[in-house]
Amino acid sequence: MEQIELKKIADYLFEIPRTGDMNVPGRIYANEKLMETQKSDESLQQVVNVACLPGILKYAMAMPDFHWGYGFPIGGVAAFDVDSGVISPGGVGYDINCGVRLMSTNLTADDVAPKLREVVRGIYHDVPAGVGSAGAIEKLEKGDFDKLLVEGAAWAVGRGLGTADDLKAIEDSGTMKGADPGAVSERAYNRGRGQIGTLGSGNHFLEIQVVDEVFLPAIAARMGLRKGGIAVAIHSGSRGFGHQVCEDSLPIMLDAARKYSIKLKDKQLACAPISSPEGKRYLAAMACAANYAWVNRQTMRALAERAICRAMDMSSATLGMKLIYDVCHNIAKMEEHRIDGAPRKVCVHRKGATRAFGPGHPSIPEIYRDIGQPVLVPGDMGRYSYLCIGTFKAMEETFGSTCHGAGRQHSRSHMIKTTKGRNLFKEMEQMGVVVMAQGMKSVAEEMPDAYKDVAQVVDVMESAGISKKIVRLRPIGCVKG
Amino acid sequence: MRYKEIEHTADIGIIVYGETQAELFANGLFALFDCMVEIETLPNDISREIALRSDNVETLFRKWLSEFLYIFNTESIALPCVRITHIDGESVSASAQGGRFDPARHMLKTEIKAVTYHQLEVKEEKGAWTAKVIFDV
Repeated sequence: MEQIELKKIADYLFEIPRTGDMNVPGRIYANEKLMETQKSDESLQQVVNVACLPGILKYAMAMPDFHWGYGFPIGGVAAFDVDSGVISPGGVGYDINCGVRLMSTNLTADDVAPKLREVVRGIYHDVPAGVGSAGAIEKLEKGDFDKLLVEGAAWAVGRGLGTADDLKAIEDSGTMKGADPGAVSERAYNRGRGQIGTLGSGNHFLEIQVVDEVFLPAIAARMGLRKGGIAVAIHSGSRGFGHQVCEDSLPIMLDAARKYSIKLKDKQLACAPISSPEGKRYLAAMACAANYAWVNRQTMRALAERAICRAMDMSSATLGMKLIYDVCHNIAKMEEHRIDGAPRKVCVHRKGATRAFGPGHPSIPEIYRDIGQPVLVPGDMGRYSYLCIGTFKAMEETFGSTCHGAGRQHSRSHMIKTTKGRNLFKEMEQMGVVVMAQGMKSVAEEMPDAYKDVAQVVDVMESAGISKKIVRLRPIGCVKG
Repeated sequence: MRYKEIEHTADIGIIVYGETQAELFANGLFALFDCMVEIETLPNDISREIALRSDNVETLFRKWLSEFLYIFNTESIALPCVRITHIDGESVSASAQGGRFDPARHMLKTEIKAVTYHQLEVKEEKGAWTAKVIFDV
C-alpha cells in the first residue's frame, strides 16, 4: 500500500492533499488515536480513490467512525455535481437506507425494571428476525408490493402501523420521491416480499434504552427525553430487497463506467453519470429500497409498541410512544448546498454517515426546524448510543453530514475466538443488559469490545462543531436477529 | 481443508480450496452454508438442479454462491451438498441436496446478505484451485 500524505488541519481534522488523479483533496474527521488505528487498513486509500471520481465537489470525506468498505470507505461522504458527477452504489452500500430511529416513551427505568425480561421477550417474540421466518406482513402480490415501494412509511401508516405524526419525524417524511418499481428486478421482489418488518442480524438491533446523561436539557425536553426516561431504538435497513437492488446494479454500473470512459481506481467504485439512463435507473431502484426500509422500521415500531404495552399491561396512550426521528445512514440524496457562496444541486453519497442539517433548513420537520435536525448515533450493545443535532457548520463543511456509529475494531472471527466458552448472555446481564438473539454467532460477533468507543467518534464531531450531543442513552434490553 | 476464514473487520472473508474446479465450487457452497447454519442438524430431503453461466470463472463462482443464497433467502432451503455434473470456466451444472431451515428447530449462526465482488479471486496454482470471497453480513 503506497504511503499517503496526511496533513493535520486541527485536533479533529486531517487532510490528504490533492495529488495525482485526485480531483479534490481528502478530509478525514478524526483525532490522533482514531487515525492511528486506521492507518493500517486501506480506508485512507479508499478516500483517495473516491477523490478521483468525476464531478466530485470540495473534498472526499470520511467521518471518525470510518473503516474499510467496498469501494467507498464506511463513514464516507462525497457530493457530486448533478450534471458532471456520478452516482455509485458503492457510495450508498448494500444495505440501502440502513438507518436508525428513536422513540420516546412515558416510562422510566424504574417502571420497566421489574418487567424488563418480559418486555424484551415480548419484542423478541413479536418482531421477526428474518432468517427462515415469515415477515411481519403477509407476502404481498406485485401490485401491492409496488405500492409499498412507492409510498414508503405512508403505506405502513395506512395499514395501521404507527401514526400519521410519525411521518413528520422521518427523513424525507419516510417517502423518497422518484421510486420506480419497474427499475427493480424480480429477484429483489422475491427477496423482499417475505421480509417486510423483519429486523435482520449482524449489527441490527431493537433496544430498550435509558437516558443516562443529558447535555442539552432544553432540547432534550422538546424531544420528550429526560434523565432516567426510557426510549426505544431500532437499527435496521432494507434487508434482502436492498441487497439485491445493490447486487443487480453492480454489473450494470461496471458496464456504464466503461461506456462513459470513467476511470475507476477500484472496480467497486463502479458508477454512471447521474444524468445517464443507468444512473437514473439506479436512483429509482435505490428510492424503492429506501422506502422499503422505512416500511420496515415503521412496522417494527408498531410491533415493539404492541409488545411493550402487552408486557407492561398498559394502553398505548399510557405508554406514550412517540417517534423522535428516523435517519438514513446508507443513501444518496439530491440536495441543494452552498458552494463558493452560490446554491448548487448536488448528489450527496452518505455511506455509513448521517445527514445532520443545521437550524432553519426547510427539510427539517417544523417541530425541530429552529434547533437543527436530530441525528442518531448508535454505539455497541453494552455501552451507549447518542442523540445529537446538526449544525450550521455541518452545512458549511460536510454537506450537512456527520458520523453514524462506533465502527468495528475487531473482526467477527476474532470475536468468535475470544468469546469461545463464555456465557455471553450472562456477561451482558452483568453489564445490565438483557439480550435475546436468534443468531448465536451474532451475539459473539457483536459483543461490546468488537466496537470502538462511540463517545470518541461523537466527541470528534462535537469538537469539529459538526454535530452536538443532546443525550446519551444506555441500553438495558437488546433484541437481535 | 475445505475452506478457512480470513480476517476482515466488518464482514466474513473466506479462502476456499479444491483439487479440481468442481471440488472448489462444491467446497465454496459448503462454506457458504457452514457460515450460516449448523449443516449437520438440517434435514436432507430436498434436491434442486442448478445451471448457471457467466463471463469468467470468478464471476461464475460468485454467481454460483449468490444463487444458493437467493434460494435460502426466498425459500428457507439450505443446499450445502452438491454433485457437479458439468463445469468449465464459464458454466456449471449441478444437482444440490439439502433441507428446509426452520428457525424454531435449527440454529442460525450468521445471516449472510450478499456475496460481494470485493477482493474476489479464483485461481489455479500448481494443479490446485483456490478462491477468495467476502460475504456481506
